[in-house]
Amino acid sequence: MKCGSITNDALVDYGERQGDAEARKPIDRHLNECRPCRDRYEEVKRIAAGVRATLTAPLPKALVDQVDAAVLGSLDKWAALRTTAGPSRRMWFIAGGAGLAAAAAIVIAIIVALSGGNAAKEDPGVVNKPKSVEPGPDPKPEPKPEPKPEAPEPRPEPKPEPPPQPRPGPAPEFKPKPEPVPPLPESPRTKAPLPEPPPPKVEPKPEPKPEPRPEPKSEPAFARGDVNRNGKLDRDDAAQLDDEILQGRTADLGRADVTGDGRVDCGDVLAILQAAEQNP
Amino acid sequence: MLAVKAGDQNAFALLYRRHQNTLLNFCYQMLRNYEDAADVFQEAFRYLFLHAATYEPSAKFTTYLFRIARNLCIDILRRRRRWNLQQLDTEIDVQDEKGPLESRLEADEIEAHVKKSLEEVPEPYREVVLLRLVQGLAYEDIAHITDSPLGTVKSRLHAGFGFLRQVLKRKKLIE
Repeated sequence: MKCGSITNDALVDYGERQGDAEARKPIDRHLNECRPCRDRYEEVKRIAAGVRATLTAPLPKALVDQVDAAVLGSLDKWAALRTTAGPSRRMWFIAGGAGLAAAAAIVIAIIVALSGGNAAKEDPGVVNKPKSVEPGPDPKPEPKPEPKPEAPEPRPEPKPEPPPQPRPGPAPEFKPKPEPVPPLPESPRTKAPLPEPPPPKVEPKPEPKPEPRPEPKSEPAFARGDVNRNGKLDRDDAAQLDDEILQGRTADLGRADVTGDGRVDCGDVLAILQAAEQNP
Repeated sequence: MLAVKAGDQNAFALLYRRHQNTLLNFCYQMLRNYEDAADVFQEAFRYLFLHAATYEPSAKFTTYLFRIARNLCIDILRRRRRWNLQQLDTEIDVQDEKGPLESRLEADEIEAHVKKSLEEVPEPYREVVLLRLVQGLAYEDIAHITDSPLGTVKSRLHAGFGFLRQVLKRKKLIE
């Protein structure tokens, strides 16, 4: 058995005498032979004891009294709710959902009437947003308060839509304009706009130039710690690095050494997570 | 829980007393704020009581209870992230924590510092480490509570203890 194959969770199990005796034997043998692993085992054991102590620590009396009063003191009230309010709460929820759907339909109808169809592309997103948030938490005590703060969100979204929508409207009218350009030299305008034809020829040239410029800027975005090379420093990088470390594939991960200590380890994962949280 | 399902309030009070300390401490460790922890704790037991009729004994009761509380904690953490309140809560916690922490300092320095060090462990890892040391929860239970695959639970547990070792090393509490 190698040192890297003994994980911290295995050491916790070992310390708690969990798992079958056969599985414990190789760890037992290795710990007898390997001093660093024995030290790590002692550390993990003490850390586990510390975590367990935090879970069983005595709580401030004021806090205990507060929750006792809030829970045990409310049992009769809750019992009344349990017998009567159960189905009606669900009905309120369904009625609320129907109301929201009706409001959304009215908003959609207004947008469609104002702009002539393009708004329909974005409407499903507006309707889906509250739905996607609700199924997240399993327990149902939350659903009531959640839709309320999010209900106003869909409203401001359609408002900015009408201004951009008229823009795509006239856009097809601009397309034919390039067609009249050829007649320009022939038409009587040729006298006045003589200086004009050269500028349109010059304009398309500078346009392609700025395009290649931003591309080289995006290349150095593969910053230190960007393990998955997607240009962002986020939790996915930390998760991938975590997997790489667990599987012992850190040899070619020099870019993941965020802490700069010459090693790729949990400290780097932590640093990436902290950076990702600071720059979401 | 089956007695609670049948409407026995004494059985509910018994369950409440049995899990009060561990669940409230778990909520506090997840949220680092006593007020939020108390809110989640109350909401979890309120949900448990109101929905006792729908309870199916397919998993351990502890798993069921911690799953409810954990999801409520995640809701609060999400809301904090949305409103960017993480920093503010941490500052408040430091003030709240002085009294009880000082009175609870134990002989073993590492054990006493683990509590403080836990807040530096990222939330997905912290919750797995905490759940692993809740009495009677197996890896499968933790996977059910956190809605994660078993392999993810094990790797997060390994990394979570790794984080704690790093933090304690940085504080020169271990070599």
